Amino acid sequence: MRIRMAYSVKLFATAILAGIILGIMVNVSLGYKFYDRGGILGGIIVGLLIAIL
Amino acid sequence: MTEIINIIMLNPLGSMGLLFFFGVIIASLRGWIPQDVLPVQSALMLTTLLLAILAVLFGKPINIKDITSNIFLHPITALIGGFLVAGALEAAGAFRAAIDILERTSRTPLGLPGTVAILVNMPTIFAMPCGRILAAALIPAAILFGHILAQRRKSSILASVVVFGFIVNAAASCGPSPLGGIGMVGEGMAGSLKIPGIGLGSFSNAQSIAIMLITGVTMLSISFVYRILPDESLVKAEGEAEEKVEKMEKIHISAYLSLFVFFITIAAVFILQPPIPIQTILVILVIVIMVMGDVTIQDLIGGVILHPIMAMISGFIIAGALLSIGSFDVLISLLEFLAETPLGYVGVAVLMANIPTILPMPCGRIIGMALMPGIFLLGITMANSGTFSQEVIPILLVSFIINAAASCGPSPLGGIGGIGEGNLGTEIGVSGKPQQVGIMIGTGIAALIIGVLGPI
Repeated sequence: MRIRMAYSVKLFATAILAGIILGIMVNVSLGYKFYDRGGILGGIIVGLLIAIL
Repeated sequence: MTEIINIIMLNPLGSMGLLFFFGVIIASLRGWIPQDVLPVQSALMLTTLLLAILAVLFGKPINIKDITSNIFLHPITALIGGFLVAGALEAAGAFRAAIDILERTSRTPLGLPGTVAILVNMPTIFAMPCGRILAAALIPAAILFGHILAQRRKSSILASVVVFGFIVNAAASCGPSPLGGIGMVGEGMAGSLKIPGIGLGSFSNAQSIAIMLITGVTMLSISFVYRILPDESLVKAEGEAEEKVEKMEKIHISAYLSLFVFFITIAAVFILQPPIPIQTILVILVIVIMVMGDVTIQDLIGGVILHPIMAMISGFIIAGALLSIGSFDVLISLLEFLAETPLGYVGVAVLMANIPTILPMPCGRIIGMALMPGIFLLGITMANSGTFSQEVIPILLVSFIINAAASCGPSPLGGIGGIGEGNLGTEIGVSGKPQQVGIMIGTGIAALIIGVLGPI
């Protein structure tokens, strides 16, 4: 078995960026300030989970 | 016009095949073929039979091998395995455990917005083979959080924002699923060309990232543009009922363990890429969850949804028939003709990639499987035109796949959107447009990711 090294910087960077954008969109659509840390943190967690899984 | 007639007359049988295929799709969408009498999957199977008869009359009988060779067993068996896993997880209480974890998350610095961001993306994180699995399992949580937000922010529309964001994510989530998702067929096709970096699993991340943005755009469009207001009394009743269940139900530790084992297994498959078929891994996972969660065989069978399996098979069969009678050759000729207009190849590619959402079927696998060979051939034609590199093939395929996967959300023929509409008491079909907006954006994002970054 080989350990997959395809978890590249590109993947995590793209996923985290998408997560931040998602977080901003969720914040705005729910009527929170766009920079509300909850939404952005949530988006980053989603990005990381998607990148890892 | 003359050129189009020439293309049609060169292969009348193939042209008729295309006409019947799109005719059945459009007639089903318009309600001319009542779905309670003849569902679209059955109509396509009958169309295949009709094409087989026509082929005999034209003196070019369809070889049964042409049809069966287009039925790819790998995604079908992975799909069935995925459903068994879903049934086991449901019966073991894993989805309830997930809702409980979300509740606790809302009390952390993530708060409600962060929890909602995670909740609405859970279908793509779980990556089940059909969005309906998580849609059914987690919709109570979506309504609960929508209800809480609506109360706290004094804005009833927030319930719709949360629920339909969740719904469109669920609809699209079958695309990147490694458990028999639509993407597997495209990855297999593109992989056959030995393009560097393209193989099984290579489209998943681009799709998943695009789905995150589809979700966000859909939520924004409902909040600011489409303004879908739910039936407040219904949302209140359902939200309070779910709160009661949360308070009374004790979740066994095995439910959390099952959830944990599921995530660890999926992560391990991606990291280690063991030389074991995914179907075998899924069967082992099912057995482990059955032992941990005291799950019965009936629970497993209860997790199997026939709808997407039949959609996939009917899509494969009609695709095999269309391939055999040359319908895709006619399609490519027509598209090449269109490419000579101001649309160009890029415009034609944009149109074709978005066909599933323009003609949304109750399961994305219907049009996805039926037209995938045509999309693949279009990609090859574009690559051979000299203007595009071979990378255009995976770009086109991933755009089409994400669009097909998500297209069941806005479908008026019993799409996943109906689950949200029913639960919120809104008008049927009202969530179609915001979902289609999100899907169009996401299709472009997926293409951009593969085009600029490659298969990440």
